[in-house]
Amino acid sequence: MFDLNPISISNYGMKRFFYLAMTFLLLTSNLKAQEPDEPLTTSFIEQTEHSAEWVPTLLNASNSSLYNSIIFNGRIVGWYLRGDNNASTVLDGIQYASPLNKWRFWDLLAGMQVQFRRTNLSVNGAFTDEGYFQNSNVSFLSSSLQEGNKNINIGTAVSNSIFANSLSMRINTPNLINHWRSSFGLVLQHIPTQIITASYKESIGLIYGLEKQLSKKNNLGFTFLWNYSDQSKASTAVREAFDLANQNTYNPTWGWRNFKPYFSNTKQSNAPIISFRYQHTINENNYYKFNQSIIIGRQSASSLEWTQTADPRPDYYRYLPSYLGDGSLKNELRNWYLMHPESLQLNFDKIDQINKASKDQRSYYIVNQQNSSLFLWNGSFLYSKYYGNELNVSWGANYLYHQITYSNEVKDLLGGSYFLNYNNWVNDDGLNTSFQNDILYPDRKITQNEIWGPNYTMYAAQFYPWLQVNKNYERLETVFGMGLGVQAINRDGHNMNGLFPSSSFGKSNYIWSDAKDFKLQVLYKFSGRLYFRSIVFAQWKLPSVENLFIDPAFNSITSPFAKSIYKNGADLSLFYRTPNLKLYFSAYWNNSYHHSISRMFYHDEYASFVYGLAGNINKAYSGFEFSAEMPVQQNLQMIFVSTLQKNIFLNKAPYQLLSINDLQPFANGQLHLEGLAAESSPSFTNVLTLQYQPISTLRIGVTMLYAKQRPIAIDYFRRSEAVKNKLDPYSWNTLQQASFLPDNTVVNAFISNSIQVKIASKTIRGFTSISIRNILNAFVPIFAYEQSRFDYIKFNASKYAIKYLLDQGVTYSFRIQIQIQ
Amino acid sequence: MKNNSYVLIFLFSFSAMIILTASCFKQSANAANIIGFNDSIISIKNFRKLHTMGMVEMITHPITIQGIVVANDEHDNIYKSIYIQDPTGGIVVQLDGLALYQTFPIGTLVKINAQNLFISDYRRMMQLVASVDSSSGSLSTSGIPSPLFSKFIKIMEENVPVTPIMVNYKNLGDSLQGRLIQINGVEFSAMDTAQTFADKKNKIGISRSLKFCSGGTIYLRTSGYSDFAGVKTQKGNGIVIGIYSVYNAEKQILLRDTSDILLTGKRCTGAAWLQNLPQNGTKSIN
Repeated sequence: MFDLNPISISNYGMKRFFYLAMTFLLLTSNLKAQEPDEPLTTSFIEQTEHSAEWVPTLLNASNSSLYNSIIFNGRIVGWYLRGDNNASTVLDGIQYASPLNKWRFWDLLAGMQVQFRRTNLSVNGAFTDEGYFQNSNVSFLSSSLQEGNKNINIGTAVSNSIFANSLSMRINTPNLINHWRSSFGLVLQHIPTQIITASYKESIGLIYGLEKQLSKKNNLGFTFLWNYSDQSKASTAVREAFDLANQNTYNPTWGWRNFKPYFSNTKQSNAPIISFRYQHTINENNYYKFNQSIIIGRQSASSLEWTQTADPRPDYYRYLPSYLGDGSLKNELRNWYLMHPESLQLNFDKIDQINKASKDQRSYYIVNQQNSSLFLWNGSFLYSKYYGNELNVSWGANYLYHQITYSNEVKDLLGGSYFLNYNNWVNDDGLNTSFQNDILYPDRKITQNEIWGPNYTMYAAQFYPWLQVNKNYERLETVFGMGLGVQAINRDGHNMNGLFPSSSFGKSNYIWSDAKDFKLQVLYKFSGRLYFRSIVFAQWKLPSVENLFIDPAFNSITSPFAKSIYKNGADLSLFYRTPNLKLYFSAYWNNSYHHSISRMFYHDEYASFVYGLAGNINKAYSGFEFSAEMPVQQNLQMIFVSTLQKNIFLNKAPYQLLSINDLQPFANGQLHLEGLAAESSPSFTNVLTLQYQPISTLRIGVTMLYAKQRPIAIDYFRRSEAVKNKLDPYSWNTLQQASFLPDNTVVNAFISNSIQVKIASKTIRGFTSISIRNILNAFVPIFAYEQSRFDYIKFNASKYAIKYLLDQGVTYSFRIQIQIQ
Repeated sequence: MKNNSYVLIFLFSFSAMIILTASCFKQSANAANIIGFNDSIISIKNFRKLHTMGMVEMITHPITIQGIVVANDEHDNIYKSIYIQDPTGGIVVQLDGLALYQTFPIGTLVKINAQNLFISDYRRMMQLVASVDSSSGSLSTSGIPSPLFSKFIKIMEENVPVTPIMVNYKNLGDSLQGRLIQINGVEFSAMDTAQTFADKKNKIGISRSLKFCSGGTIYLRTSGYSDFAGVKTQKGNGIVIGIYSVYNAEKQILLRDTSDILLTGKRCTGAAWLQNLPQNGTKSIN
């Protein structure tokens, strides 16, 4: 038989709806009862254990070894599922992807995701009861309460990583008066200012949920979620700087000030999420639900800025030994850095002194804070009806209205008294007003905490209705889905800059875009153990601000390459599942067309900042995925995962280089991207995990990861026709080819234990885990990229060298969690 | 054993006192702790004697010179160098950095540890540099790398008054190289009046001839990058203050700023203007 999952659809908890919507995947065994096959929940993991970040919950989530391996081991080598690092998140049924940029969804939750129930949709999960989603890599989070008894959870984690050191607490009260349930959660994170990891972090997160079962058919819920965080930001550097500092966590953006560490690059988040959900069950085959949320608040990020003065960055290429031609001077400088490691950090005392000593105490250096003031309204509606057990029709819509005001604020004048409101990027010949950020208030002196620079608001509205039909046959499940979306975006400039007086101030016209997508999925059952699945899809995606505008900070002029991205692809998968052996194999290929980019960078040939624009960039993603999960001996389990990816550019892409001063073209032509790596995910990755569970409460695991052919993210514009024409064939080939990082081998391990005791009427459960990541202390770049700046005069690729972010090396963590019930 | 303890306690207390006392003093951000500076300072005049024109000398011994910064890159007429002088002479010091004026403003007394640096000359203008390279067939030099400023240069004092030396044409000689001078009774040649100091648009430097009424010509050299390159030259007669420089046999003067030039008097067609020369604030050289 090939039946629906036997979970009764007459039970209407949130969790059950989740399973109901997965019926196209949930299969039951028709084999002998004493050895039931595992249900095929390939795409989903439900993770309820509060585990440390890199302690896999493999036994709990054995259905998706591939996804687990990537989540727990993949970050260190930039390993992404199907090369796509644009994973999106759905919280309480709402898709938070936004056409606007410069805001960070995860910072709104920082530290609190452990409070949520989490479901990960690993491979092309277009169809869920959370709605209809276009992305292939989606995490579902739910703040809704878990049923059960009243309980209190307290946990803490300590680590030498900048990602841990937290204290969390959650109190669930399932039986308030009048069928109300509530839950209160608190997460504190504290990383003291430290030089070793060059970081600090302060974060407090609160969550309060309230739910009520209005009747058997209706329930509603509210969630208030607020996180305040302030933390340092990691920064990339060239390899030479890491070597001189002899420190993987080297961060050139902090320095000494009055004998204390001072961080110029920081980020803050202070924006609560208020959400509301309502669910109504019309009858056992028919329900709808409605989710709304509002986010109001501010996120910001700070960095050091300077004008008409020396570059303060200690890792600036001119300050490094490699810049010097003279060997003895090179050695002298190298020795100087070794003897004076403080020289590899910013010298804020000197910066203060320069600002103080300048005429009128004008600040040439400041710490600037980019603010994004958020008003984000999101919603979704879903209606679902079952016609017997064979046919399910769902329809609904996702919609949003996002309004973000972007501004700059002088966070710290660094010893000076004022900062001039000038645009530091333009070529200032002193003969016109192009360098004025606001010609209505020219030469304005900005003092501490005042607004300066570009100041504008972006508005975006989206409406995306969709339809999904699931039809099941005896051995076949089919799903068809489609969506049609429309979007409007406009810009409102609050100041008139000297560069673009007519297009920088006031409201722009609306830019309308539409989108559509279609998906078809079939699942065929050969037997209770062997399944075949195929997915085909085509999508025309809604463009984002980054695709539409050249630079909305300065004007509302649209990019000549603005176009909707079109994607199509297919997926063929085989599943073999028995209680002792789970095999998965998949082949996939996706093509993606009309990508565009816009970069501002300094161009040496023109001795000026330019906008580099490129469009009609086409990419192809293809590969194979394999996972195997089996017992080796009693209590010893082995999981092996392997992916082979080929993510390449398909074509030569047209480009333009525009003068930042007047958008007049410096150059145009084609970029020779064809055949180059389009993503930085490794081409070949193997992960072997051995997990030993001698008793039910103790798990010990070791994971070995090997990543091969990790592409370094390329700079597009140095691969232009113009550069090709200036080089001999050999030099051009060397320049044009992408380079790769060394192969990496990483070993991680963990041990976790749980105990349960009864004291009086209370049940106390304790969970502890110790994990060590990168035990071998391997040198592993988390990512690497070619800088936008390039030597367009002598074409020396090492002049502006590749930048890296490195894994810090051996990272340990200890976590303990106590649940009192 | 007990005595040793007392010694240790004393040393610890003394060290702590030194550290605490030192931390109470306001230390200039530019004044880093330097090792390798000794007190055997030689005059710039004697230092210049170490050099033979057309040659390059590496300073292998611990030699220190001390001088006041008299010109820098504040107005971009000078690039990647500062000029220092003491009562005996001046010299240009090449520094591989930008906005040097913020670290080495005019009037800063600096001590330079010249060991491992080089003395060379460019078109007979003597300079102190960090490295030389002749691999290309011609001599190229580079300045002290920015991160090593504090290794080689120690700031001793700030806001030291700087007074130009008043000289006339016949006094102009190599011993004045790198020094701040004042010349009186000069005017631009007729062809060079009401012209821009340099070609600002194309960033090309220009030499404008300044004529002494008493006879002789010195060239006012201005970089195309200077922020006053587009300013027009004055038509009158008067005084010019600047750094004395040479380009082979050509005598040059470099302005630090337009406030260094005051040519508002009558051109030297008669003798009356001679009575109006400023008499104060300068000293004469014989």
